[in-house]
Amino acid sequence: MENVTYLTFVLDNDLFAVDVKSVLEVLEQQHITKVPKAPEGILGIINFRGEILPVIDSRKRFNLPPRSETEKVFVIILEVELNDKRYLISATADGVKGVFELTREEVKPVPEMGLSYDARFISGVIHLDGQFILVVKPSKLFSISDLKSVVE
Amino acid sequence: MDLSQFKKTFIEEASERLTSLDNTLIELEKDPGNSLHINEAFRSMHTIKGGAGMYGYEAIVEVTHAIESLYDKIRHNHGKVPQPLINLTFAAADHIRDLLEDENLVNEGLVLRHSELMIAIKTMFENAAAIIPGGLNQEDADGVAGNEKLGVTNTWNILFYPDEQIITRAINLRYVFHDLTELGDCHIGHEPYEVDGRQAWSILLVTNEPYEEIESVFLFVLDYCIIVKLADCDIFDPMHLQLRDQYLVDKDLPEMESVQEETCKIVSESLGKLDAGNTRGLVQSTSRINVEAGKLDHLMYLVSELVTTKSELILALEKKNVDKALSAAEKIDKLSKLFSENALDVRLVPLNEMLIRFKRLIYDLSKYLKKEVNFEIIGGDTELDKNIIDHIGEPVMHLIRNCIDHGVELPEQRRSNGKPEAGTIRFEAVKSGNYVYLSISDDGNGIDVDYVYNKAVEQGFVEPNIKLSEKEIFELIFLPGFSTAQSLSDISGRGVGMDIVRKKIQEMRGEISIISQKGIGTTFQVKLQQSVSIIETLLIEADGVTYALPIEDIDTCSLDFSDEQLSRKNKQLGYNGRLIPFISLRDKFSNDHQTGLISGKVIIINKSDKNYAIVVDKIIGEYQAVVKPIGMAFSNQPFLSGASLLGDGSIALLLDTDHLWEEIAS
Repeated sequence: MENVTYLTFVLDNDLFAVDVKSVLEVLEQQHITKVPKAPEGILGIINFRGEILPVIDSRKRFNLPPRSETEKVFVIILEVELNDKRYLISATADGVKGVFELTREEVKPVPEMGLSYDARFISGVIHLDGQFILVVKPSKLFSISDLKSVVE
Repeated sequence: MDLSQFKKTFIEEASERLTSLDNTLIELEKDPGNSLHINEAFRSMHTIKGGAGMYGYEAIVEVTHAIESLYDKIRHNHGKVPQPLINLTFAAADHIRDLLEDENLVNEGLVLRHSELMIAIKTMFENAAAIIPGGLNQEDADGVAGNEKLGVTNTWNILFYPDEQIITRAINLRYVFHDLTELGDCHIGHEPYEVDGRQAWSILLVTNEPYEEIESVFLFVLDYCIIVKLADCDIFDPMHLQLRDQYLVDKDLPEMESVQEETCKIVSESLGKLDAGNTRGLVQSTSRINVEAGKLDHLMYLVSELVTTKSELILALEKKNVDKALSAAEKIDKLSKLFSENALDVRLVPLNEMLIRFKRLIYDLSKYLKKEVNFEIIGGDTELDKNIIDHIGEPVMHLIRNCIDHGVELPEQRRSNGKPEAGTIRFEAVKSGNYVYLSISDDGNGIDVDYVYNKAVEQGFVEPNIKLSEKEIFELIFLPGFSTAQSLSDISGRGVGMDIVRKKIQEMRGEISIISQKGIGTTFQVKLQQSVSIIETLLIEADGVTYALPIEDIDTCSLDFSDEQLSRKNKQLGYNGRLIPFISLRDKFSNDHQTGLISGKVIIINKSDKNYAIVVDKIIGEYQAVVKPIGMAFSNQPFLSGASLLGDGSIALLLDTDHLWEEIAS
């Protein structure tokens, strides 16, 4: 049976999970450089190992209320594959919970109803300790225009 | 092993071979009997055939094999290349380019063209057979290289041009000659003799082995050899003395010239149609780069220095010797600067690599337009960053097209104007400081200032009765949507317009302008940075964000203006006795739209005739910025041309002064 390791993170009061295979690093309290007239949903840019990456405002993507300026922010660096190309992207999180392992069978399909999020971004739901965790599809979360090509 | 990687290399190398083949053919047209060029054409086809066979491009193998056999025939018979064959080879080269992209022949048009081409080649073979003495038997028509029969003694003449490269490629010629003597009687002339200005050794070989065997002996040095069959016998045999004399007289063999023009009429026609505005192969960007060995030697030297200094530093730190550590750190600092210079240097590519592809375009285009054009290159060894070379090809090509299409007149007209029939298009490149200046000029009929002005009024770009200077009228040509063409010509009517040319050049932080004199000619002048990766900037701050401004765009900085002056409604500042518009970065880019506090430092921008001021909160200082792309996410912010990392890991946004100006205007 194939096991998958997930990283869980918090947005507002909800829990989300992403396959650790696509996570490169989690940065704490990263200074985000604001970019004037940036497109909606993009907070700015960060310097990640000498590469400049745009930062996606995850709360905005999931239609959650905006984070207050004083709150601590994490940045998750993700590597996604799209049309056979690898891209680096970063997205904010309010907090990172930890890592856990599951079999694929424990990830249930997304219910068609009762979801306040855009179902396109979600690949499944995990029921764990009385809590729902939404599994995020990184490649769907970001449009091609958000992505930045990685030199292979 | 990853085969696809090799395949990619094959495609790149094949494209390069085809480009050099184009140029060889252009030379052959001028001098159809030049054995070096004939051999080169043969070799190009042969090399491509080898690779194509290995990677399963069956159709390419078929074409190259057939064409190769034709050239082989000519070089064996000391013949000349007839014009129809040159046209046919051009068509074949283009066809191979298409086949490289479509190996499985998915495109039906390609399949059709393939069979047309093969028929044309076959027809040429059949016609050639009637003309060449000895004839080509059916075996030849099917493409077998030689017509010698196995076991029959033949005499071969091998012209061997020793080249320096043989030494650098570490080829041991001893084995070559050893193997050669194994084949049969070998007579090597004692004096090298001169052919086409090159020293050659003439070797006479009497053998009963087939041609392939000789070729395999010279396998590694085939590029420096011409192998020709002299006679179907041993010419050193006294029995054949008479025959030998006859062969030597016959060496001056008739040419293939009289092959009917019709032979490949279909192909030449489609060639003209296809290539009039063809851009194929011109804007290719290769992922490999050829680097001068000297630059790499320098890199190796730097690496060894770095390794030594690193050990010094570690040793000094272990011994806690601060002085030694500091001096080592200083050395590393110096080395890192040398490294960055070297890295930029390695990226520089001579313009010739791009220009070599233009020759074919000019050839095709001038043929199509029935004009005669000489292409002159001055300063082709000038180097530019690879990135710029990759992007400048298309705009420069468009400028050259413009010169041929609109500039150079038809031969009759030129004659009646007292000019030589052939027009001249000159490409000049000069390096000055961190800039490279290109000029593309023609000696054609120039730009008619009044005509352009009237057209602009007619199309509503200029209000009637407004007088414009000559320079301003030339500027009109760069307006989007503006066209001076009387009829949409096949060439300049398609592809990019002059506005796109200017846009592309500006994207590379370059500039373009026109000088023209009616009846004398037109010159496009392009100014480019040699390297765009590192630029001198001024760091400034506005609303908590750090920006970098290219220093070359700045006229004056750090002027103080009062709040009162800056809050004027008209957004104009007095500078040097005239009013110039200003933009406040805080005002323009701030998210919370606070107005009021706008006082700060003023920077005057002067970039290609644009004069305006930028108001910032703080001027930080000069900074040598390594420019990094900020990604597609910000494609809607053209006023940002990139970003740069500062020493502390924070980011400065690089401002594009051209687009910032447009922000003001909007």
